[in-house]
Amino acid sequence: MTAPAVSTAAIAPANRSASSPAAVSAPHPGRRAAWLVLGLAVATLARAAANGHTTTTALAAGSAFGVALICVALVAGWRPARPPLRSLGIGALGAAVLVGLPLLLHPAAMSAMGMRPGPLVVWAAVTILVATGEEVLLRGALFDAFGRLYGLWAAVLVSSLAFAIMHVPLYGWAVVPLDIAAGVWLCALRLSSGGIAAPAVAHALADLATWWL
Amino acid sequence: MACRRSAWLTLSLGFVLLVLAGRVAPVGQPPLYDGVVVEDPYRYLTPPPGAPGNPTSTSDTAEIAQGRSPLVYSGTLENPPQAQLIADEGAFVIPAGSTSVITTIRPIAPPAPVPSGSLAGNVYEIRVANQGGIDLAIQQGKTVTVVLRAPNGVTNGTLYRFSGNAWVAVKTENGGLPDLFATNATQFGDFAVVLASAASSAGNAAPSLGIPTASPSASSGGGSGGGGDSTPWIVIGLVAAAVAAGLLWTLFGGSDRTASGGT
Repeated sequence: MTAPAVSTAAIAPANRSASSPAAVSAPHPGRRAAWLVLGLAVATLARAAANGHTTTTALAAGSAFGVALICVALVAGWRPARPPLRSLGIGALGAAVLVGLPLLLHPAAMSAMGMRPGPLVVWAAVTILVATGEEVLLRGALFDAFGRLYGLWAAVLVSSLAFAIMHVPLYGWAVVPLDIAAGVWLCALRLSSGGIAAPAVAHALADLATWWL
Repeated sequence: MACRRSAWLTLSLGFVLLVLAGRVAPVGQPPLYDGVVVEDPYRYLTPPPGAPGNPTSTSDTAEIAQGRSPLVYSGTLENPPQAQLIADEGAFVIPAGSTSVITTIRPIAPPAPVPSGSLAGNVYEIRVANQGGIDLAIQQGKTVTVVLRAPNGVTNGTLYRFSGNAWVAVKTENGGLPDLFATNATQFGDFAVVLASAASSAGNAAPSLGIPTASPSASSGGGSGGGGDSTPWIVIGLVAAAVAAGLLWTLFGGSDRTASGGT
């Protein structure tokens, strides 16, 4: 796969601000990518198996999933960095699009899907953890790994496809088109802001909005 | 500059994809799926041994303002609801003198056997009337959506409506989770999820009774939502293929674009 010359130039700034695999003793990029995909797959299937039918098990499975994703990314060499303030603004704008577009396209009320379990504070904490974990791994470590290997568009494609497929065990195939689109949008937020803080903020806010929708 | 151009290009692509995907999204699908999902075990009107019973009913009243019905949402009390009704503002033809819209959803015994296949879960009677008990018709061009949940693990059902003397299949969409089934209703009545004959022989439901022959909580997806019988294996296969590709690449070639001076 060949990528345009702009690809790695677009990857590099992101590493400086929010993830810096080059700063640590990173494994070979191919092994790193394989490890990330494997870790994501195992965490996703384990979560689906453990989710169960009670609020307690769902919250526990969600928390473990979020932590696991962050750990996988850390092992692969991803490191957090203080995000610039404007990332938060970009993230908020990104969330507005993610939430607003479906409301404009389907103005009627949403059907309930069991996404409001437990006390709001606990649910919100776990939701933020899951969204952050997914962004750290997908738009952070995985994006970096595939960007370095194959260029920007491969990074966008792989992280967006992974984002969609990882939701299938819990939500079915119907989510794939929208989640691929959302994945590309979140990649765009990363490229616009230079780090994962913006997509993490957008992702978390959009998920939190489901409590009220 | 190149980076900024890539960012704008990706933003534009993402926005267009979001619009396109939003147009084909299932009824009520929220923008993203994450956080925590809990799906209660299915409650049967006539539960088999060991399965939960006592499915809930609901009755909601909404006031009519300026001759138009408000946006209506009504759902049974399970999580997620086993039956839901969602109606646009002004979705009902309002007879003179009406002051409120009353939505009633309740599980009932099957009025008749389905012509083929089997019922998955309960039959729900869905009624919308004014305060005087006069049934309201659906305004043409307005969207009234009925969403039914099937027993856990049932992912290949079709919604049917009992028309008074026969079950009629209605156009069915995914309702946002694998076992949620939605339709844009043109009439009210009794609704149910029906499994095709082949599917019912797989052990999800007994003919015409909505009673599973297997444990209702035995979700083949391995989780609350499940992904259907084959979905987890398809996902595992895709993931295994991705991992294998990564490992092959690691063993036989490729180079780090950045490390090799790609920047």
